[in-house]
Amino acid sequence: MHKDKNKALKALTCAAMALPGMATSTANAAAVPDTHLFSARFNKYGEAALPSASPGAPEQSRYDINVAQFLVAGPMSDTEAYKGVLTVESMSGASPMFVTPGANGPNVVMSGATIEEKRLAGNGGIDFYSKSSKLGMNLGFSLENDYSSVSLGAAHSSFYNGNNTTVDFGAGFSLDELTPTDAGPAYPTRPEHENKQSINASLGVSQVMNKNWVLGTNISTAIYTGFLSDPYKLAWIDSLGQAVADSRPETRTQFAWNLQSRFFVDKMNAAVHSDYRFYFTDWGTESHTVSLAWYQNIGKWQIAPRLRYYNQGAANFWRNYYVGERADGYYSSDYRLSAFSSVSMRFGVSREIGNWRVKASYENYTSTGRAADPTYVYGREASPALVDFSYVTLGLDVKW
Amino acid sequence: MQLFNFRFKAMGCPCEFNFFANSASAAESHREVLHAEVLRLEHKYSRYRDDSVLSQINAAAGSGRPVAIDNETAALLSYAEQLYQQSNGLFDPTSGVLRRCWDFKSQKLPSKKQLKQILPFVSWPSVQFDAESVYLPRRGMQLDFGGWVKEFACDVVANIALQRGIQHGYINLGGDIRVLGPMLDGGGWRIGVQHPRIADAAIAFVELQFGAIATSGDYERFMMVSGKRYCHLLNPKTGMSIQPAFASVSILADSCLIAGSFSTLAMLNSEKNSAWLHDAGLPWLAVDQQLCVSGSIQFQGGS
Repeated sequence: MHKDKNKALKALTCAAMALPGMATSTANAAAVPDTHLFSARFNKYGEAALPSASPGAPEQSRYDINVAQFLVAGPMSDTEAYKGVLTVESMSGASPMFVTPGANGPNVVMSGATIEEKRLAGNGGIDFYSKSSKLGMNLGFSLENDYSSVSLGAAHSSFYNGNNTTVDFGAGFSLDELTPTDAGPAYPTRPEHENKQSINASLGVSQVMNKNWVLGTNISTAIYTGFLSDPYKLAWIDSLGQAVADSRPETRTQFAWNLQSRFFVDKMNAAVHSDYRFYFTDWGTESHTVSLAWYQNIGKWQIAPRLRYYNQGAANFWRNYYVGERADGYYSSDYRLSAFSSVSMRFGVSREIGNWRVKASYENYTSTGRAADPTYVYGREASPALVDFSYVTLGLDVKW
Repeated sequence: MQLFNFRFKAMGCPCEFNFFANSASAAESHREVLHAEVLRLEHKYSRYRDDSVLSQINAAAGSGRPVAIDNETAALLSYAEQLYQQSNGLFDPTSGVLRRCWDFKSQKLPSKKQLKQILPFVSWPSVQFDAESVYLPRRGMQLDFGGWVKEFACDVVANIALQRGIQHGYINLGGDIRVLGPMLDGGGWRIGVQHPRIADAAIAFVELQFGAIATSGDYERFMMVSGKRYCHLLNPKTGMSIQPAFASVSILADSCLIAGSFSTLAMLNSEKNSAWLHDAGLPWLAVDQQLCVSGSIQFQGGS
């Protein structure tokens, strides 16, 4: 009997929401979700091998990561909702350690291949809804044998103009601890124990332009302090004839600005998502990202191709290898701080089956380096360690 | 910020806009737009106007010509379908024709023969409609949106008021009220629930800071015959007046449309199942036939 009556309330509320002019009334601007969601994702990330270091030698294989991720979310009451995520990862492989000059261009020296390593991460939060706003708090952690981190965040959204305008504000901080493996005689420059901290804040606005189009923009900033170098990487200094530990500044400030458009094309039953992001840090890295995705609905299927282009400039202290010592003492040959551009193509498919949704996607990413300096300068050629990877995901969502 | 109060008659009942605005000219500008919207809906769905959409639909009954309708009318018909389903047929938008047998001014009950002749015209399941058109298959059939257009209008007008930036006040169409926002100090508006037996008196007061309240009662149109009350809530399957367990039911919901639909459903169901109200899933207030007030809404007794 009891279930019947709420069924009446749900059915009538649903029909009422379809009436023109009613939408802002029956759907409370800040509305607690009315269903629970469970999601599972199984992802496989594989980096392409680097060409062999010398003729006759095998290719240098890189990193592989397998991830399993689980999410639950839903209402707790009329005004509260919960969300929890658990990630389990296992990683293995080798990664670039440093770069040396060579007769035929810079050479990558790889780290020894690692045995399988695991990571466990989790994140949970609660959102509190009131008439026209929402406040969320969340807590996260990540654990590996050589790294652990804990984070805390809060986010607030305000809804205006009958839900057409949303203003989001967020802030958070994290504390990380590094205890690199094999610090000791084998790797004398590797620290045994270091810390890192960060704080971040963001502000965004989203506006419904018309029934088919939503535009959003946000700015965010973060400050990192502590040990920001990679304890497993080195940098070669020619004048010393040896490699020194990767040493980056003890602070980094970064800023990002993001613009996004979501447009639904009625006639084609498809949506176009376009995004642009600008990012820079006080280490001199500046990047641009442009992304375009098309979500095509075909009955219960959805296919979604996506193209993304990324371009970044090098950090000002980055070199493949160094001629001599630097006055500021900063050294890094990490390809992630070099100048490069990348193109990623992703193709996703999903199918709805009752309350379930099954998804699969394949992404192919290739990056191309360029000289960090337009005039060729020893050590500033394109990084030879740039990565190409493929990423396959399988997923399942169920609502109840 | 001052409080402005505008009263007028529409949809056959007293209406009121009560809200805070920065100036008299701003308030007048709001009033004009809101009043125009009430009139638009009244004209569109009134059975008293020959040029209303409703009258056009009724005039084409049995003619073989479906009548083209817009988005709003189509959505209202879909809503009516849900009301019919969820009430197990007690709420029938084609039951307006029963009006011909029930003259509440006459003190005379309809005869069995009269009802038998009219009942075949009460048949919502036979109405053909889709997103673009509607057709009543028998000449003499009539659609009547009276059961929920007033509540729908209350929500539409309230949303326009909210979009115009009005944040404190309420819209009252014949006792169906949608609060736009609390009083300036955050307190609720003191809203009286009509006394079922005494005109212009409240039997209880509730304080609302937001949300909507609607009331359905056995006193809106009725006649007393041999000491028994026969009210306008008719059973579409028998044509007879329902004998509700309650003199009135008030429901609180986010929207006036839902509040009104549920208060009417509670009254209709109360003849056979007065427990329906308790399980409806919404805060309620009921006055029984002995005029005792009870409910899950906090209320204060009236004078």
